[in-house]
Amino acid sequence: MRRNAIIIFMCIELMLNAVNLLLVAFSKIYADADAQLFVFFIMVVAAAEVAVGLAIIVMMYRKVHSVDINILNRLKH
Amino acid sequence: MLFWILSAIAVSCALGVILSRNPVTSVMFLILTFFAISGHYILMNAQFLAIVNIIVYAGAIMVLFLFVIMLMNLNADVEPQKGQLVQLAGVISGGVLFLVVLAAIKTAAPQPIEKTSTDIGLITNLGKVLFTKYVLPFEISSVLFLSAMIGAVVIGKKEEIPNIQRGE
Repeated sequence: MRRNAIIIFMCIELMLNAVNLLLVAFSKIYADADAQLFVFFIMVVAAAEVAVGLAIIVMMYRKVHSVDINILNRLKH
Repeated sequence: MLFWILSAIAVSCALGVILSRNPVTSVMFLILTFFAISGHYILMNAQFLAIVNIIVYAGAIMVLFLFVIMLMNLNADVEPQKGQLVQLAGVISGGVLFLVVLAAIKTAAPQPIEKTSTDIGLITNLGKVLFTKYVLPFEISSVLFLSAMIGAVVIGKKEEIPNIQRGE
């Protein structure tokens, strides 16, 4: 429902953090250290994805001067 | 008690991320959410992940977001409101999903926490598992970072305007 591409990006980060929280809770219940390492790798991937995604958004903004996803959706035409 | 306070802060700040008009306010709410989640990690005895969460997410990624938002000079945008019916349908379906997840968790009935070891979250133990069992993903993640860095620089580079010689 939000049109801003940056807000959508922040919601993706929120979802990744929710998964992290769940994994840490499971690591506490089952006393396993592998889940916390998986959280670490999820953070690694999230950081790399933020870097590349923001680069793409900045490049789109230079061309179209807007971060509205309805406008960005029509780029294929 | 602290658990409920941190949960209330995390949920309300997450709602604030979605519902706020100004993108800068959304970033501030997201930073508060990350701090609340790091507090949850400390409660669950995962100290390394709590500190890494604060440093990486609230320290680096959110600063990057703020830089990009300031670069674009976004104001509070006016969203066209979708129809009331669509919003009501969204709220109802979200609530039903929440109820289903709650019922699944109650039926699953997790076993009680055995007090086997409370020092899983310590960085020495995590490091021992990381460098023996997960050494390959660790090295591959360094290659991933390198490629992400190169990709971000290549994507963000300004194209030079070529001098078109018209052959005159």
